[in-house]
Amino acid sequence: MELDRSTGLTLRYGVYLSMVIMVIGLVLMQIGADIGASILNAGIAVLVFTPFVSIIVSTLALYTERDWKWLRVALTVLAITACGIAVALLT
Amino acid sequence: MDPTVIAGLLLLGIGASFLGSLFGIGGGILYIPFLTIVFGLSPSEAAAISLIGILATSAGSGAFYAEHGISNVRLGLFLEIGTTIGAIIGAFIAGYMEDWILSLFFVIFMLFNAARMAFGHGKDRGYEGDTDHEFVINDPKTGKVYGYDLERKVAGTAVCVVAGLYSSMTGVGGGVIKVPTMNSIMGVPMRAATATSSYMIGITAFSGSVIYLINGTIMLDYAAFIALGSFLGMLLGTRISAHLDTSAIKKYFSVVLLGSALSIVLDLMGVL
Repeated sequence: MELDRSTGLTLRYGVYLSMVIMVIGLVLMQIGADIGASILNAGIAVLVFTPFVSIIVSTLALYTERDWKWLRVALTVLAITACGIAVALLT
Repeated sequence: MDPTVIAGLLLLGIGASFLGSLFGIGGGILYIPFLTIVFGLSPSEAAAISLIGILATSAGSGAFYAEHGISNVRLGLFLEIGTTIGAIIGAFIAGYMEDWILSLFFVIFMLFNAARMAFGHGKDRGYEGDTDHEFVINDPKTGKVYGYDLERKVAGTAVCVVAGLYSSMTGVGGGVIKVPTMNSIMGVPMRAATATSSYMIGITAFSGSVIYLINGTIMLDYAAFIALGSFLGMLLGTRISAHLDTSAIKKYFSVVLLGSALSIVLDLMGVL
């Protein structure tokens, strides 16, 4: 699928999915189920990582379009964000 | 959690995101004053939660613009090289900065935002009807086609690093820096610049908030309600903005921002 559309769809579904998970988590917390908090946190994590996943999708789309110039750009952003995550995990 | 706090967070999320989608701003400049003054959070606590809120708004609206080919994903990714570097550095050093410095940075940002909304208007960029350029945008509002090329990429990148720093340290999206950078400095038509900015803010907010998430500095229950409200506000805002001419409202809104900046200064000084 071409770049703009696949990126947009990834963002959209990622956000929707995170909202569904968060609502499930909140409902479970309301009825007193302990697992609710974990599910809520998982929903937040899905939301936070959605743009990151969209970068990966963008990279794949650029690869399939054989757009090497911009593929390098996408890979650079991917590498930088991955480094940021790695440093945060290590410190 | 206290139901009034829950209701307050949801309303804040809906309101800030709605206005943000309408005016093409992230909403951070609305979250921060309320989270610090009304909810009593520290600037860094507020920044972390605000980033989650604007991430939801941005990913939602960015998705819409990208799917309709108005956002320039290539341009967004290119500028995000600089922005993510700034955002990551900002997230790490924010922990070492005093609260009042973070608040001060935020106030400066708000004033800049207010001035832009009151006086700024986009420059006409791009070549109408001429598709023989690096990029092409089809403006759905006017039905016109514009071709454009990217100019001054190094300068644009440098400014974006600053935008990224600001985003992580204060919890704003930075659109008010990114849009003029793309439009005035880099030669991008306004419509493409604002749509691309919406897309970019999600990546910038991710870069900052993932570090806060890993370090455990996000108040997850607060963030969840802000995110949910933000999502709803974004749905409303993006649908209405297609039908509204926001230029007149923007000028009055800049007065609101001024008042908001003033309230933070008073709060900093201990008057409020």
